[in-house]
Amino acid sequence: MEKQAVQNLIQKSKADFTEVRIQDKAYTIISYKGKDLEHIQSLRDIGGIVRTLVAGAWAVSTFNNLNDLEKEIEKATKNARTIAHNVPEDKKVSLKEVPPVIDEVKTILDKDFRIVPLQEKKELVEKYNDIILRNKHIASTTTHYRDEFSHIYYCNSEGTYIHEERPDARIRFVATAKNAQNIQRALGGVATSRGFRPLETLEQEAHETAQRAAMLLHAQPPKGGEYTVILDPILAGTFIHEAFGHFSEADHISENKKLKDVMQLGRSIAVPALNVIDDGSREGLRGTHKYDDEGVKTKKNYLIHNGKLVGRLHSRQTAAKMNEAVTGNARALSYHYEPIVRMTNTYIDRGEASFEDLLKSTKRGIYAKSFFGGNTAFELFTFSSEYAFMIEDGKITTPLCDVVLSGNLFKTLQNIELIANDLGWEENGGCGKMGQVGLPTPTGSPHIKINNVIVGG
Amino acid sequence: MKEKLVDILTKTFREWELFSIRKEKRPIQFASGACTMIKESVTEGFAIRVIDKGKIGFFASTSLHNIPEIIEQLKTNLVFGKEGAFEFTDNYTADNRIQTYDPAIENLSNEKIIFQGQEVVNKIAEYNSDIDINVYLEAETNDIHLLNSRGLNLSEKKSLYSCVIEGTLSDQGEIINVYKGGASGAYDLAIMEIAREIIFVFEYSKKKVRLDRNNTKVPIIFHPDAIDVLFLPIFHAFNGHNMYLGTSPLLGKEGLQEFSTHLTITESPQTHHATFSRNFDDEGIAIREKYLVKNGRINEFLYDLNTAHNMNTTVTGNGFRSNASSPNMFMEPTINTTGLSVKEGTIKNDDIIKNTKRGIIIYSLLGVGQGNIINGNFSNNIQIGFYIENGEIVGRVKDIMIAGNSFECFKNIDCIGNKRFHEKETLSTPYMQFSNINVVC
Repeated sequence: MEKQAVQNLIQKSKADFTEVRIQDKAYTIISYKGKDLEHIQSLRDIGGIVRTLVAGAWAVSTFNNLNDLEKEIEKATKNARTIAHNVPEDKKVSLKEVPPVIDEVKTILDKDFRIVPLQEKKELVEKYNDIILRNKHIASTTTHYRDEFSHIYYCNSEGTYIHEERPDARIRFVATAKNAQNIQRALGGVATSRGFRPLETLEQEAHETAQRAAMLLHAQPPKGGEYTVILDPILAGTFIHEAFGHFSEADHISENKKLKDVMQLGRSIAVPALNVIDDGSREGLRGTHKYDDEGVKTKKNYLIHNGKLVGRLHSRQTAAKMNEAVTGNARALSYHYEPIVRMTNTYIDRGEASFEDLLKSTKRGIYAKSFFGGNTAFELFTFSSEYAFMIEDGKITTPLCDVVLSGNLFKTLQNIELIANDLGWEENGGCGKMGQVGLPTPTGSPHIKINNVIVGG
Repeated sequence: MKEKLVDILTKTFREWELFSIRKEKRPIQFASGACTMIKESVTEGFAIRVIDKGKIGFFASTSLHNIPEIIEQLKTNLVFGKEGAFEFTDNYTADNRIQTYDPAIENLSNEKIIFQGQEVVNKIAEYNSDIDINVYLEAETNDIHLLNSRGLNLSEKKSLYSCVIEGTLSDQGEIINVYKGGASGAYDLAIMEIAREIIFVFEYSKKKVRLDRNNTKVPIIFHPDAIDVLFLPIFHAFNGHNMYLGTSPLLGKEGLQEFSTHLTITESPQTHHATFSRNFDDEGIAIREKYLVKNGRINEFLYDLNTAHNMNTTVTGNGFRSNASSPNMFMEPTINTTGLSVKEGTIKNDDIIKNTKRGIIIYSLLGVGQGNIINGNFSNNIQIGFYIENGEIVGRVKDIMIAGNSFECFKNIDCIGNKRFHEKETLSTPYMQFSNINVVC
């Protein structure tokens, strides 16, 4: 739709605040399972979302027929009005004021996947799949390629109009190894917003994924109990995302007085060496955008500084509710969803120790590597490593499988003993919240050493 | 527009299939006890599969406006497409017509949904006004239409009503988070019953029990809300595609006694107005009830058209675009279950607790799906679980993990209760008790 036409319809809206987000997404999927090509697909998804605010109540409408925009704005306004009178005064929604923005955010790709022929993409995926299958222990694979390019048009009644291009591409490997007694999986791959080129040199990654799956056939689960654990950057980043990051999303706490007390800014929440940051403006990562999905500029936000809780993540709604500054963290998975408070690129900042220091100081423990899954329920967290090793007398020894770590966030943050200086990033992660599953949320961390972690087994 | 597309597909491709859907959703949420947002969503679009010269092409879109571009994309995808020598079906026959649509859901007013949400909020607030309450209610209607080049022309209307209630209580430095949900294909969801169960969990969570680290050999009772962790490996193992790939641990075990004789699992139970109720799958194959496990014996696996062809076996009507209850047009049909149902045992659910001298009953687990689903291993934190002593629930257990293997659990089932829960949802089981699960604290 034409910019002027959208702006005109928004200006006609009778709501207190109206925003429209239109997305036009084209994507390609190629996947192999075992030796067979499983999918080769082209998809086109065009739709829009309208959000209106009337007397402190929201209404949202999503649709595919863009010609219905005027009708959808009217419907949303009517719906918001329907519920507005039932919203108690102290729950009425208001929005933190932000300056209107008019901008066009273009992207420059290192080899634009939109012009790479389908045949070339297919051959690349097939090549990696073959590398994994060449390992004699591998029974099956999933090698999955997906690229998508979205044009997102955001417009609101305060005068903001942003057209942003959002590219994303990834290759994911799952290698399944099997022997007479056991079946094990290993994961690998790369996800990027930088273009097709970073996906072209993953031969070694594919090879190592197959090797890890084969290694896991001979790994044993750990004996359950409390351990000192060293987390690699992938797992440590996952820990901080899952266990702490979700806790710092202000929509969890803005309406809950007791939670607000628990997450009071200034509180010493962790060991003094710990610094945690969420930065949606950090260049080149999948969680990076110039603006969030409310048209607010993204920025670097400290969440924990020298062990003290110093910030949290906001939408315009939660920032107004808590009378704090906006952070640029209102994100929506697609036009099907309204923006909610989400992380962007979340990381533990580098410390001063070396990885060797962490290892040498551990008499008996577990070195847990890579991420398999994770979950939180407020202070409780659990996450599993893809593979792990025992540490005995400061040395990495036998391989372990099925290592699941669990604990209480606040105790664990105080049990971090050492933070290394080797910050690494993991971009494959996709986060789920309130039905919006798969939002790119890269995590980063150095190796970290934590005492007294419960390990299931 | 659709007629024009069908006409061009017929002229261009030897075999084609056109799946189209219109999905209307009305989710309404109460955040921290107040309904501050109302939402209406309409999603419509189509997916086309074509088969030519032993290859399959696929394209899906929300827009029918540029038919020449659609045809070009299909032709390109067909050149590089996957091998597929199967044929679309031309013969749909079903023994019984299953009810999939309840007009009461489509006609439900937003005001009525809001009223129901408010009742839940009031009920829980009446119990304890410090509980932060979120309620999510959603009415959904799907209009599904499937056409193919062999003359198949099927349509089905499907309704769903679902509810999730979440309560969070911060008390004496700890936070208890309890959530429960329910869903049905008819307007018969017992929402207030779900609210009462939430209150039950909070009430019994008041007292904490610390488990003795040296005395953790106790039986585990799974409440049906928490039992999906044991069934994820079952979903994987009975998927015919994993038989084809050789990654199902049950490969070659058809007809063998692999599990306890107490265990019987049916797939696609013929239930009216269940969330999974459908008369045909997303490839147009009639859905029938199947025994996956019969008295512990491996009975039957699940297939879609392509895998059945590759395995030279009979298609079972399990080709779905994501899932049976709410198809996703952007996905090609792959094998999925509609619903699984575990046959009841003879002991009353409550008597399982009463007969337990020392044990744990689990209501929810954290991290479900993060273990090695293929070989059945699981290791999870108990989010909500209670200690049982002398047949009585005495208090909540915390900071405890359980670990075990699903296939081993099903070989040695202590007992199965006599009443199934969640009969209209994708996994319906009674209480089940096991003694071969490790407890770590």
